[in-house]
Amino acid sequence: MTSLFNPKLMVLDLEANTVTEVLTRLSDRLIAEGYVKESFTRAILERETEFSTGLPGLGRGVAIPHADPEHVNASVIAVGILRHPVQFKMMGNHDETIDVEVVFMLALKESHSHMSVLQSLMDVIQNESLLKQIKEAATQDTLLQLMSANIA
Amino acid sequence: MIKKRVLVACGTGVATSVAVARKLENIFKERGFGDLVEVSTCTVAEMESKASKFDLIVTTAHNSKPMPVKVIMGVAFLIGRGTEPVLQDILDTLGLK
Repeated sequence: MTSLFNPKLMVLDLEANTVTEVLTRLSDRLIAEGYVKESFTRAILERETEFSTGLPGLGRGVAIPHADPEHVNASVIAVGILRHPVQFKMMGNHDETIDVEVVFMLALKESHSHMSVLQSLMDVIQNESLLKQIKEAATQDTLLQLMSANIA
Repeated sequence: MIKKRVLVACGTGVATSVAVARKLENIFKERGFGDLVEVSTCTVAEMESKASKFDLIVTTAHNSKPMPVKVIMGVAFLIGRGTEPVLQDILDTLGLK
């Protein structure tokens, strides 16, 4: 099975001040590497506005932006570690904001073949020490290893 | 025996609805309700048209439209905290103990 992770899509120290900047930076990377169509950026931004993806992970805020499969060429998950927290609106409750530090941008071609990936992503979000390791990963390879080992 | 039917909805229908649906299925199985409940997923856009065929809707996207069945927020299952009261609400709504 092809890996859902690519070191080129591990962005450490992502400098951004707004949700739009964060999402555009990661989406641009996905487009450059051929995983998604150019329409993905707009789709992700619109989706985040309509149905926010900020979640209070255990210990630190995370976000799991994603868009319709029609914009995806090949499934992959991009990871962005933010240099400083950016406020996202909380999933299901737009009145609450989450200070997000780690972003998992999901470019998934179809849902049902990635069930276990989504489940394990949820486990990661609920694992305080793992989230800390992810946030503090010093190299793209370290991050790649952490993700591959914990998400399948 | 007619099964209880739960519809799990999210914005795109591909990520969080699937994750929460599977989580709920596991919980139902653990509690012995595995054979009594059927869980399906859909997008928020489809929710309204499908609602009447279900006993309960669980969603991870905010919803303000009135629906023919009860709508319960399921984000707690993604976060892993605060799930017990939500689960109780779900079981009560379905008439399961």
